[in-house]
Amino acid sequence: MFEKGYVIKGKHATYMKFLSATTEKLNKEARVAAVFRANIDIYMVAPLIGVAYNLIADEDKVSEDDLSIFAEAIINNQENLTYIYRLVMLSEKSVGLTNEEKIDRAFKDDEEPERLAKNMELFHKYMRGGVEWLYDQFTEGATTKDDYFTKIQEIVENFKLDFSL
Amino acid sequence: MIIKSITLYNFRQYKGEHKIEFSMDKDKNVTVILGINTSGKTTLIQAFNWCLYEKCSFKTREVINVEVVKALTINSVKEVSVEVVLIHEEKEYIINRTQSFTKNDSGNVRASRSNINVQFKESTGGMQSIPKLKSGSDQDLYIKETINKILPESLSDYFFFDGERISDINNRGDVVAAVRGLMGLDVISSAMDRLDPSKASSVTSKLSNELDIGNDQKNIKYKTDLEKAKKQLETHQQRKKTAREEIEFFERQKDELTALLLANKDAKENQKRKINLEKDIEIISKNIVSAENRLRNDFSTSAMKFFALPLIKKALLVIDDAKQDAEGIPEMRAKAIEHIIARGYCVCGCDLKKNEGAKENVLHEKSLLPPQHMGTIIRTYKQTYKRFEREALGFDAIIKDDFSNYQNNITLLGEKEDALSAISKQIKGRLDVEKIERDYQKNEKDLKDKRELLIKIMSDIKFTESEIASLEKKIESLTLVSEKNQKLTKSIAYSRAVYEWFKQGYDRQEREVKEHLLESVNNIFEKMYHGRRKVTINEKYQINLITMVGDEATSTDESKGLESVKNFSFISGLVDLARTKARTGSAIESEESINIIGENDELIVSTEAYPLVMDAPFSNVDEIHINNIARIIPEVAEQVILILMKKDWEFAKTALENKIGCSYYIEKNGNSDTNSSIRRT
Repeated sequence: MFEKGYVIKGKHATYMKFLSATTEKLNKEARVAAVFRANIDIYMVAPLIGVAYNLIADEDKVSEDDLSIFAEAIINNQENLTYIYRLVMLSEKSVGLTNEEKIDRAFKDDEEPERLAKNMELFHKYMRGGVEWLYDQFTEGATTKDDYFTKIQEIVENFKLDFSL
Repeated sequence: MIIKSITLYNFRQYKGEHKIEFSMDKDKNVTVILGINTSGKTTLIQAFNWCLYEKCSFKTREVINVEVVKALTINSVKEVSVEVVLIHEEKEYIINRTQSFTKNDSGNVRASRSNINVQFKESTGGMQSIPKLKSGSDQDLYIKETINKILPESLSDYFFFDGERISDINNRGDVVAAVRGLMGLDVISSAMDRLDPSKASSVTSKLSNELDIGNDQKNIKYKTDLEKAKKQLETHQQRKKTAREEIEFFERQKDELTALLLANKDAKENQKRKINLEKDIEIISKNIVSAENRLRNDFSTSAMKFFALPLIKKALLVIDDAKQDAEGIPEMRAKAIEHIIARGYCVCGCDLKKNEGAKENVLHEKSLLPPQHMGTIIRTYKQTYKRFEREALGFDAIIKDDFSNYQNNITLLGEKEDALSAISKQIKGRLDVEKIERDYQKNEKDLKDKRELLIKIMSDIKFTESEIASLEKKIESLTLVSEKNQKLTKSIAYSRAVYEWFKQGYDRQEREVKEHLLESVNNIFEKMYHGRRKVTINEKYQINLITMVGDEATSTDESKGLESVKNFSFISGLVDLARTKARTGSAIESEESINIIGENDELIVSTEAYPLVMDAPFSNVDEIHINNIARIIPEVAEQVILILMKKDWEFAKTALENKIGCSYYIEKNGNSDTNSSIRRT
């Protein structure tokens, strides 16, 4: 689990590029929000947001854009990614599982390749849902660097309100 | 001198005969001649210069109309002529210059020497010609003298001038000669040169040299030494003059630079502030980048825990509900226990095949481990998620803090940028103060060097003078008593006395001329230019502007126009001076002030006059100053002839409307560059 690279396709790749400062590092001219330090940071946050707001999205086949999260980045963050994966599996309720079943899915499916693949796909659906949400949040009424940085604070504040944190 | 008319015949563009009669009315003393480019405006000035002095500044030296030359048939003759009629000292003069052109057999056009005739009207009404010399190199000598008495050639450029070249008018070397000539000072000056006992070539020196001191070699050597010393003294005097001129130049520079520095004092402060602001902006810009990075990094690092919070809440509920968090060996999995049982001995070394009790204990531990039992792993996760919750606690505060730090820097940057832009606007168009300061320092050094040089030259002069005096004394003591020597001594004494008398008179008169000219120029300048500047005049009669303290610095655009105003003042001052001379016979002897502007700002009008003929006078002047100049000039000069383009006339018109005696329009015939005519309007 989380031992190799992952390729994000279609519009979600485009969105992620817009959110990541890596894009800016590669191309100084790129007019992007660059609110996350790296692609992997988005890859970790997005599924959590997807579950929190119950947003899922299938892989986009319309756009041909793609973006690789490199194996090195994933392995470096393997521990946290695993925590996130189990968290998603424990807390999402798309298929009406009992709590026992949720625990089994979160912890016991690791050694069952088919089940694991199914779970990973679910994880990535939430990830894509989360990326869409982030993209919407950061582009709504924002065009300048100043706007994008202002949005960070707004998003944090709104998330706090939405979930009574 | 007042110009009555000019008649051009085949002169340049003016094919055939064209006559302009100028206004001689005392009140309506302005004649306006309007024309478009290349219609022949400048040609009119050239016609005056050609007729009076045979001067011509065209690239092609031929003054005859091109079309007339083209139409010349072989062996035929065509003439070009200009006739000027003027009144000088109540006498009417008719000055006519004619030149003929012939085409020879081989088709070449040849020009004859031009022929000048000057006639004047006797008080009886009859016409009298100025005679020509029958022999000698210059047959027109009397005619030239007559014309030079009316208007010296060296001054003609001031009275017939080209406005496009007005900027040169005061910078020329011949200003001194012109002013001195006009005032009659040049005659005294050359007389002084002839008598100056310190000059080896003077009459006085020559007389001294003739004194008989016998034939003794030693005595004769005194004479040659004296001659040498006098020549050396002349060289020293020349060096002194040059050094003085240089010192004067550097002093003038110093005045100008000081004025500039004073006027730009605030600019220096602003420059400093600008540099500081630029530094601040650089630092703040860097701070903004760090603030951005900090916000982005803090957000990226901890967002995971923060956004996990709602999920953790739910997950913990799921875990607690399943009651699967009983304690097993942390990080241990069932497969590890199976491995231990299979190999038959425990990690402590106990043989599990022989010790059933131990095996049971190990199997119990296995039941507490995943995958069969998730207790241990779930407990670990539960703790980690709880840690996440704790760690996410301050996240929003950190983000808030980072953001406000970022925002403060952005605001600060905006403020500094606004201030910079305001200061840049103020500084824009200002001079480079540091450069002025460098120039000032350099000027100071040059001035010091030249002053030291002058002191050295002065001591050289003193030494040579005492050498001359002692040689003269020696020679005097050796002078034999003879009739010839007595006569010579007497003559020497006379020539010395006359020299002293001239010298005193000359110094006084020159001082007066300069004072009068300065006063007159300044008065006129103040009328023309509404700024806090004054005019100074140096030994060479060159005028300079002094910027008054606290005034704004002059930008380059302005200075050209200002230069024109300055030179207009100079010309007007000169006209004024000349007029006073004409009125009184000699300005020098007049006790009356030559100031043309009276106490109550009214202009003193006199009866004698010099004309001002100006071609394109307003080329470099803005409309406000055109108006001022146009107002003053007809008051200063008693006759004004303006040759200009319509667009410049528009601005001058209002000021001159009541002054126009007559006006003309130059038209190109069939839009030809070689055929124009003059029409009275």
